[in-house]
Amino acid sequence: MTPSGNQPQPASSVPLDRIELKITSDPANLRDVRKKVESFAQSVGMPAQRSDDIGLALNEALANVIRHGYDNAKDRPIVVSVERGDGELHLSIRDWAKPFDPSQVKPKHQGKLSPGGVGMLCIQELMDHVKFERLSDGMLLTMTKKMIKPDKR
Amino acid sequence: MADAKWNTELVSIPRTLGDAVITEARGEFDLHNSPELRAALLSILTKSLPKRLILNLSQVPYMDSSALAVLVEALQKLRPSGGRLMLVGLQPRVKGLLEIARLNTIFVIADSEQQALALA
Repeated sequence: MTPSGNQPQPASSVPLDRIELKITSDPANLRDVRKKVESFAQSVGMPAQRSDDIGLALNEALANVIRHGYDNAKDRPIVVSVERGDGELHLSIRDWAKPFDPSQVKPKHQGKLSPGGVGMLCIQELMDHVKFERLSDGMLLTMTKKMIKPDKR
Repeated sequence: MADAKWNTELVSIPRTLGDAVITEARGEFDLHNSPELRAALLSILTKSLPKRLILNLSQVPYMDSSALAVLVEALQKLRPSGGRLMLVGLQPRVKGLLEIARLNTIFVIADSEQQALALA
């Protein structure tokens, strides 16, 4: 897994605006990519609790790709991109797996003794904007989270 | 997942205290190693179904929904015989996941093993 992107490598004191992580669909990669994205989010000014939220949402989205998209194959490609926007962080997860229809995920009912749909629930609750796009050769998930928690007025 | 084995570095060998079986998990759990959590808990529950399985999570800073599913599966095995799964020492991220999943009320949650043991 190597970070790359459109930006040239900056001096160490200047934070990157974007990272791109190319991984295989091996669950052993989840922890490392989660920590790299959490670290990036904090490096561009996101509070730790919100970067933790992004880490969990990313983990659950990647786990969905691995389990449902790639049927637990460990050698398929996934590209994770994270970019600082205007007051928010944009994440994208590109895969070349079979199409995934998020509407087919069973909703989680409060208090029911079932873990089903928890991953999707995490994604929807922890991110401000979530969009699944079916492409001709895979899926693109884009997620956005504001850098700072909005005031409730 | 079927090949996972009990890794005692992730889940300790349990000890019995009265009607309670106590074990401790350590580390971060996600899709990669939650099968090992599952193997350990199911192995414990295969030997006996205690009235109380106390799982100390104070050394678990992070878990995802795959690990949470293992806890739910353990609770489902305990419930028919009246057993309870008691989670001890939840760190903020683990507690947060339980809240998001709306599963924080189906487990008994305690601050410490002593508090869990003191619960009726």
